[in-house]
Amino acid sequence: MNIFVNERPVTVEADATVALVATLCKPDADIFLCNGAPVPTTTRLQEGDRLVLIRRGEIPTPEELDVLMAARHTPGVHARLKRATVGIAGCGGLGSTVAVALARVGIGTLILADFDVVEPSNLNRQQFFVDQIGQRKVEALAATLARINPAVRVVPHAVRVVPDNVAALFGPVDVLVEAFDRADQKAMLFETVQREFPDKPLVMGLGMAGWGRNDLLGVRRSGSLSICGDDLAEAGPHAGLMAPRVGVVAHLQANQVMEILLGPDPHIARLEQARR
Amino acid sequence: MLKVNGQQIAYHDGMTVTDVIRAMKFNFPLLIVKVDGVYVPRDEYSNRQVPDGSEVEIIHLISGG
Repeated sequence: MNIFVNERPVTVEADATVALVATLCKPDADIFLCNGAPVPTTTRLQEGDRLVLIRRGEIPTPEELDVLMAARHTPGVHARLKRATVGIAGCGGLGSTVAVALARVGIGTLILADFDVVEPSNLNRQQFFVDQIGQRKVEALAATLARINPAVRVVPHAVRVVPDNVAALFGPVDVLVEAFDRADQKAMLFETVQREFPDKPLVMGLGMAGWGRNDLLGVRRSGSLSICGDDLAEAGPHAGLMAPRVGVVAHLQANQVMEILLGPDPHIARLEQARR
Repeated sequence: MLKVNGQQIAYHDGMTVTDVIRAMKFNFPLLIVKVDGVYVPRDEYSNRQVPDGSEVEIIHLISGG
């Protein structure tokens, strides 16, 4: 039968166990994952299974890394995400966190735009480090993303996003993430997208000040527009922006990008159906 | 009747987007308005009439990110 070992096609005898294939392909492996989950070495493999064999602590080659990093992905997802391009407008609390999540899952290309530099008040919620203070955010973030997943192509634009450059910056993206801090910037991006490419999926973040109240955070959709947040808690005096709540909304946005690119998760749909 | 953000409100003849925004007591300066799924630009609020029975979505844009 034919299976995949570290994403390479391999022919093995029918009913071969994980242990047998490991002996043949990677005898020093001590981590065994099949179809996205850890398995015992006694597991009998089936046609088409995707087995990943890892030696704990071993630094893989860049090509191997790309495969091994996706060993906990649902099978098939990584290849589809690799073909996608996502734009992120603004690289602050939302944008930097969305970028980190999407780099970890291996989005093919991330286009980043932000004119600003890293300063200390960013560090309570944004994915930057003390030694990056003073650096342009897009450059600091590109450096961090390269450390997380070198297979992701990152295109940093150290520019202010204005109506005149939205089409040039984000024309090629499959999904655009709105990740600005100010409401007027959010409005500018929405209105420009409506004018330039009204059908392009746009994922906005609205309402994330304060802490707690996880129950109010969610996603609502209206055509090609998705809105993540509580739609309520505006940032301002006595309403701060802090890592946990901003981070939840950023991850709602990143998760929404996944759903737009991949469609609804069929496994979750089956589980939901079975519970009814 | 109109349905605005899932809530029923009374309709009157010639009702415009501006009237709907007032009826909903929205005072946010930055809104996204869709009538039956179609986006209405800001400069058309005062003369765009909303047909009876429409579904209106009003999203208020607030700072934070």
